[in-house]
Amino acid sequence: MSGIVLKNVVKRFGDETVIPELSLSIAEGEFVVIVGPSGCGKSTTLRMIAGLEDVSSGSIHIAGRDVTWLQPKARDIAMVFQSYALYPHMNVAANMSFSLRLSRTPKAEIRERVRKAAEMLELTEFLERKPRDLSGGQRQRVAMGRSIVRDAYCFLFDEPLSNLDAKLRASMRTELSILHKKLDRTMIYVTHDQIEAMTMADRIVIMEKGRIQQIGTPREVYNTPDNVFVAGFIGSPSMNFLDAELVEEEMLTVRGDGFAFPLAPELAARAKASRSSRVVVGLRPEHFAATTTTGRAADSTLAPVHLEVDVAEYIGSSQFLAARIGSKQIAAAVEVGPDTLPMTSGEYGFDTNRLYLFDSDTGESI
Amino acid sequence: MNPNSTRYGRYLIRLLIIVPGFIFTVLWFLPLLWIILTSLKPTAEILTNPPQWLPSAFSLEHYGRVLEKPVGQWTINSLYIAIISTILTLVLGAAAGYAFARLRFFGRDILFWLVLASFMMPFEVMLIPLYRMMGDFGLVGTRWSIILPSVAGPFSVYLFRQFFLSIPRDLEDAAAIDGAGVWARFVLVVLPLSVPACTAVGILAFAENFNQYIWPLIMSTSDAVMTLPVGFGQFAPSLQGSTNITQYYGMGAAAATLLIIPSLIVFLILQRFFMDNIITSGMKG
Amino acid sequence: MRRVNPFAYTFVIPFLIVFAIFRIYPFLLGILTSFTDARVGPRPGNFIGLENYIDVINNSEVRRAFIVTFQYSLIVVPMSFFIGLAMAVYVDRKLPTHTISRLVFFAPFVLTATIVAIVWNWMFQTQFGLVNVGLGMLGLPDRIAWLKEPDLILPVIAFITTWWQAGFAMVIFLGGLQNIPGELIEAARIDGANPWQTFWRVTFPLLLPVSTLVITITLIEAMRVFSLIHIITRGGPSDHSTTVVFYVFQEGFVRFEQGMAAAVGVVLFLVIMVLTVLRFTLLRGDQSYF
Ligand SMILES: Nc1ncnc2c1ncn2[C@@H]1O[C@H](COP(=O)(O)OP(=O)(O)OP(=O)(O)O)[C@@H](O)[C@H]1O
Ligand SMILES: [Mg+2]
Repeated sequence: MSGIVLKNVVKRFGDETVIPELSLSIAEGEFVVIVGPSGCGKSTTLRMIAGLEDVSSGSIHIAGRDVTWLQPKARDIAMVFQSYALYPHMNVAANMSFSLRLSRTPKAEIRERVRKAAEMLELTEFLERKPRDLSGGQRQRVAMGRSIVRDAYCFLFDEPLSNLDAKLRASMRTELSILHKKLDRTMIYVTHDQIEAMTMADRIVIMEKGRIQQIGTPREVYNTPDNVFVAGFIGSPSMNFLDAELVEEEMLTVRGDGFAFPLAPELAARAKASRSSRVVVGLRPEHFAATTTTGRAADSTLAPVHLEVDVAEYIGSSQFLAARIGSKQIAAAVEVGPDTLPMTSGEYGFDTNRLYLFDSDTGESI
Repeated sequence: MNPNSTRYGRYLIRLLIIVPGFIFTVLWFLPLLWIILTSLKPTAEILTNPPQWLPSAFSLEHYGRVLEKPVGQWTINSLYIAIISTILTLVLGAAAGYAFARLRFFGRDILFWLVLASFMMPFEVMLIPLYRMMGDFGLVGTRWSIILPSVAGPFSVYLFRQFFLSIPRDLEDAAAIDGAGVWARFVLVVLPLSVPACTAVGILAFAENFNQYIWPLIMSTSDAVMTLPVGFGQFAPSLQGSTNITQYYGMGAAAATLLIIPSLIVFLILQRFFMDNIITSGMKG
Repeated sequence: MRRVNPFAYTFVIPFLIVFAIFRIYPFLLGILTSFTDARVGPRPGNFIGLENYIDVINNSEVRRAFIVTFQYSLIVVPMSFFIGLAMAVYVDRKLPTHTISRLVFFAPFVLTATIVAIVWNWMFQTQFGLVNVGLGMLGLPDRIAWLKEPDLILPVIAFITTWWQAGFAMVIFLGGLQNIPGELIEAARIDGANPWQTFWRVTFPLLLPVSTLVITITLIEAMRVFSLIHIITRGGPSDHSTTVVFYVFQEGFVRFEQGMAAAVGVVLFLVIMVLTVLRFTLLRGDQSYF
């Protein structure tokens, strides 16, 4: 079995259990992004794969080998740290070649590999510089370069972009994706930025409190979240949750404080099967729609809902609304067309095909 | 308020601080200046009141008399002891400090606790037992009897540990992933980043070992091991009865000057390390 | 299951060997010796139980030594503290003279005790010493026998020690001052505090950890005072400057009552331990300053 496999991994720090039990298998060549809120155990998981932390129990396999008790250097991995961890006393070339020198690679080969990596990352002119004389983005690339020259089986990234400004981060995201295609290596990438996760991942692993909440492609986790946590975590701005009751009217309907949405047939069937009457309704902000001058859109799945708008922020393509349904604060993002009415309190539409229902006790998706 | 007058007021306040401060500074230095001048005066001009500031003619007679003692041998002893102690302190302290900071081994916490606890054991408590031990080991009358106890102090281990803890852990993790073992990490990554700590510990250890008094005093059975501070103690006038006291003031001044000048020169060269490093590597956690 | 690094021992063992032989072992041996009537020479002496300790309590000389040491500490600690603090505050204001002042204040600290003793012996000389000469120029009494007056000897030694070591306190205070964010001072100014108020209400409280450090260090140093006493006064006049360590030295290496000397040493250790523990309980949670 190739790729990377974690079997029933448990991690405790003293009395505190940080990872209660975690199993995960990653295919060779896959780009997996682990996301989750701060402190949920992402870095710890990554560091256990790297061999920088011992597991408390369970086992880790890389490329079919049980590496659970091997030193980091025996695991054939490369890693990029959030702080970059560049050796301050070595210049860029020496930083990149450190591992090769330790493994006594022939000098000519070292030079060749460093040259290639530097070229790929456009670092050639900086090879003689010390890290402190580089900009943040350049340092970041040196950190990448240091892992690339290794040509390791697997690359681990712990929030490598979080110290960059927004623009640089966006362009590095693209470069990382390209790099993944070029190198064709397994990559595990940790972040708490869901945009990075959505844009780069083959599969996303969503963690909370040391537990995996869902594993899936970006589309899957966005469109069919397994539970309230995933639904709320993926998507920006995040999903609104409203308490509601299932009531039989002419169609099966969810009714709550200030709203009533008929359910689309498929969802209605599932809701019936679940036989819970108290539910949580999930509404993504981007699935609200404004009323146009020509009246409500003809789209029959658009259900009317009254929004009491507190603040409207115009950002060009769309408009963010801080509003209330009944007494509950919600956020909505509404597309603005030429014929859109001014954004004030009143009638808005919501696409009932995009409505999510969760069991109010378990938080599981219905 | 007129801006000019507040500005004028500020200058006045500055002046009120600068002038007394400067006088205080001069007074603080005066004793050293005076002892140096005294050492250069002919005996007759030393004991005068009102004092004669500058000698009528520079005289080296006191130096001549100081050098009748085996000052050369004492110097060699002092340097030998200070240098060897410093090197050992650096090597043993850095290695142990690193282990306590970063490595996991059985008994680490208890051992480190012991090292910390030994801060509370004043050296003076160990005078008697150390003296008896040196006798047993046959080390009395050797320089090693002075070197070894000073190397055993906890100070360098503690300082190095604190410093190593301040080095970002990621650097060592990165090195581990790059394939470096413990010693490679220590030698290739940690030590090159520890030059400030090494300088600080080295300078402090050297100064302390060069200047120590009570233990070398007890161990100085002969000129073969006697150090400068102990040897020069013989020139302190109060110890010499009342005969010939004039001469002793001159000799004392000459002896003191012989050590003051190099001490101050070394201090001036290294002052940045003395003063900055006590702040940065010594006291911060 | 934990991965323990076998190489770790290669790092600590060299130090631990020296540490065990020349620090821990003599310490334990000292405690052992304090229960014997050991004199000089290879024979360990006979076990005599608590006799030495009973002596410590009953012997007026020992009691004197502790009293003298405490008196000395009470003078030298505040003296070094406030002079060191004043120096730090003066030097910290970036006045034109601050570099030279900083150097001068610290310079005596690098000198060995012998030099300090010789220098001040000469300064305090009754007839020709610069101290009395200076007093004379100011029209003050100028025939004071500084080193021979029983009541003056401790303040004089304390003063000499302050000259010698206040620079060290200054440097620690400077470290503390530089750790205080400038905005705090500015905020106090804006709130209308004058420099004097700013110092005592804002700066000084923030120096608390450093202050405790300075006090602990100078206090422990004071308990151990020896070299200046040995060179300048030999414990005199009569026994007015016979401090604990000087007593240990006399008893152990002049009178060769090593069992008794060891017992006094152990008591000194206990005093220092209590001081250290006190400091840590007072300042728990602030482990960053040792
Ligand atoms: N060495 C340690 N000792 C004790 N607890 C630790 C240690 N390292 C991490 N933890 C705890 O483990 C939990 C998970 O930490 P981890 O660093 O993996 O979080 P993370 O998901 O990477 O968060 P972030 O996004 O903030 O980096 C945290 O609650 C943290 O306090
Ligand atoms: Mg993390």
